[in-house]
Amino acid sequence: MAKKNRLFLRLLLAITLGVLLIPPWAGFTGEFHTGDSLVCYDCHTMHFSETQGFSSSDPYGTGTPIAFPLTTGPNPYLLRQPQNGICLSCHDGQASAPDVMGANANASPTGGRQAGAVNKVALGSPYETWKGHTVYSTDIPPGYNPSLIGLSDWYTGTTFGLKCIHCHEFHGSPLPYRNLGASALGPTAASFQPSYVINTANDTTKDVWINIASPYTSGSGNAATFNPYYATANIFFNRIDGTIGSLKTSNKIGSFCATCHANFHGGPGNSPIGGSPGNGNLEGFLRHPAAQTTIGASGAAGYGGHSSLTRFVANSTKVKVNTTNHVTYADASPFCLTCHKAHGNQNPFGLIFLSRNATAFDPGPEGPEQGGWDATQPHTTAEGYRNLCGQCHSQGN
Amino acid sequence: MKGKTWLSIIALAAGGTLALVLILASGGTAGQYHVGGLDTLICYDCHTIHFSQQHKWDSGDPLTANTPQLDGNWLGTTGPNEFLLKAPANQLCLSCHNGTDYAPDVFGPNANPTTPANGREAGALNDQALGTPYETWKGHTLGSTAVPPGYAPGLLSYPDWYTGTTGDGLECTHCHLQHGDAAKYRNLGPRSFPGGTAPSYVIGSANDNTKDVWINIPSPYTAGTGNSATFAPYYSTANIFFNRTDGTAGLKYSNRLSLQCAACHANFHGGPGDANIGGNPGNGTLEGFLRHPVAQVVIGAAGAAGYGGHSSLTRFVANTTKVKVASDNSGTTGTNGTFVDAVPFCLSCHKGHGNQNPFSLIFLSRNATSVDEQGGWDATQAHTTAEGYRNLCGQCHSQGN
Repeated sequence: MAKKNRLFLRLLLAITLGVLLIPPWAGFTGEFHTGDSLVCYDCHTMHFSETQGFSSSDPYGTGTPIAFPLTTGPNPYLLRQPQNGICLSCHDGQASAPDVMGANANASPTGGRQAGAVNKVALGSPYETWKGHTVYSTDIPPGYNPSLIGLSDWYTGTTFGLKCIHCHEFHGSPLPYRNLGASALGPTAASFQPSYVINTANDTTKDVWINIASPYTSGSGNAATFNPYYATANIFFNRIDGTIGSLKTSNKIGSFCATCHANFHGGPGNSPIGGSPGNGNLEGFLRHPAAQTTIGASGAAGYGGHSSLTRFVANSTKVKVNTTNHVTYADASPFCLTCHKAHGNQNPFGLIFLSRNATAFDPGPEGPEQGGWDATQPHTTAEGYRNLCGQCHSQGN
Repeated sequence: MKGKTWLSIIALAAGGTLALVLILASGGTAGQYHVGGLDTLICYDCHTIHFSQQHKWDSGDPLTANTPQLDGNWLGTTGPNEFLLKAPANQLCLSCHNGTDYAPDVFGPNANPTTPANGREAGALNDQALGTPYETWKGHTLGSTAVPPGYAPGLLSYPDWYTGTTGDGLECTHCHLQHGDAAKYRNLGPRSFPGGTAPSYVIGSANDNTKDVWINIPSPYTAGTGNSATFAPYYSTANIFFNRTDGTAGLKYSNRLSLQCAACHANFHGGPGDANIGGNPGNGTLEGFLRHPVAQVVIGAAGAAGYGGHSSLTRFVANTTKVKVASDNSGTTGTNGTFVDAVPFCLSCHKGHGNQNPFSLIFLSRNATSVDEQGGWDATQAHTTAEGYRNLCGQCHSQGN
């Protein structure tokens, strides 16, 4: 045991030194919003004035034109455009940054964008507002119950509308996946920020595994480079059980989503979920569990026969689950992103209508973001919903 | 008795006059060369009554020089000029203040033999012809007829005073008093400004917080030596510090230098609650700035004094190389104080004349290995505009740094 401890300590020291040796200018962990990539003047303007300069589009003479001249303002926080607008000025319809709004202006990543697409009222079909997160919406988030996860009433979107920064840290942080974790969460944000690893080898101590070659260099401005970083085909979620507030979690992504949708999160025994051991198995779920419920498992680990791990493992096209083994899926637990695209897609509620044996996809580059169809079935909402449930459940399938 | 009293009065008057002459002759009170007595700037250094001079003032020798000479023995090639100037206005100023070894060089590269420590506090002007690295968008451009960015004199209750959009464009005298004023830092004006708006200054190893500017050099300072080894300290970035002298003149200010700048750039000046700046107390802290405040907002302070967390005084104080701020707590050296009341203002981020950076910004790293008019870099970073901008913001802000 002493020898194991020494080995562990040596390993820990080596890891620490390794981290310290990573050059600070290397875009640590690949996030563009932090480090030496995104610069203050990309989003902020001190005086809301750019009448002088090298040129109106390249006032700093850097050779990199500012593509978005000042129009509406001055704005709070010295932003070049109102909030959401400043984010979407890069992240919608631009070839140089991942497109997160509606149709993808770039070539589609393999399997589509892992997070799908947000929408807004003006966007319309096929990205209606009820198919995902709607920026500017003043609706209260469905299932909003922050006390369940130990938060006070933090959400301000019912007054100011849903903003990108309600979910993402705009100044970036090298540690959380996709800069998740709103500043509005204050000092508690760290509890809701999923970690990640970029490598062809997984690290099950991290919430998210981005299965691409390391190192990944952000800021290339080239979809061919950044697409793999956002591709559904390359993103996997590990199972890391824990508790956040009064709710169980199997991945901090779930904890993060619960900051707005707490009533829909948790595991067996949590009040919004239900499910208490009875007759040796979990009984009485009130809502679909989103943590610590192994597919097909009996006893306290699962729901005894109401789902089937054999079925899930046999799927040639699988939805995402929380697991420490992405081959056997022996401990696979469903969570929010099992069924929903985080931003949204073209399906109701951002649901992923993925057949167990998908060979056909919706038209357009975003097709795989909606899921996929087998060769014979009609492409209807009903069939799609059945497909999704049928990933794990044989009932009615 | 009456006769003796009268004689005493005459004697006192004469003595006083002599003393005054001696004082003026000893170097221009408060160090200003443009004002003063017998051995500083004289009328004929800049003016010619008839734009004709065949002989020198002190001899019958022919006049040959067309650039400034001792005792006024020169005449420009272009003229006659308005205001009886020996050369067109800007050209006249630059005939001394550009490319000579006897007067501070304010235009483009510094030709003075002795360079001020950390560069010229005001940096350098430019014009259309100068070119790289002093392009026109990197500072004040003499001769430019552009409307000053942010020009809104009504915010200060000034009339529409600026005349540089026509004719000869921006002139030195739009900012400086050509005939000098001993009480005004760098002869800042101009005449059309209301009284009481010019920044005051003190020269000495001890600060005077009642003055806007502290020139931290031994007193007395003798102007007019014509020797850059003597005058470089008077203009060096390393020796100039700015006190906090809060007030309101239409807009809030924390140093009267801001009022000078605001005369042309009012939209960019002011403090919390001024309409063009924004920032009103909410939830106990200032919220909603529309433009960066340049007055009466303490770095890192919470509550009505600051912006609660958006900047950090701890960070700023820890900087080994700091930008200038308006503070009454800059310490005994100007850099070793607590800065507990430090407020950013225009010269925190910009050189007064300009430099080689976009918009004359001062790209100064928190831990620069050396400092010049452009700022300074730490030992490892790439010397790019992006890094420089991040350096500047990073003086007070940790976000993105």
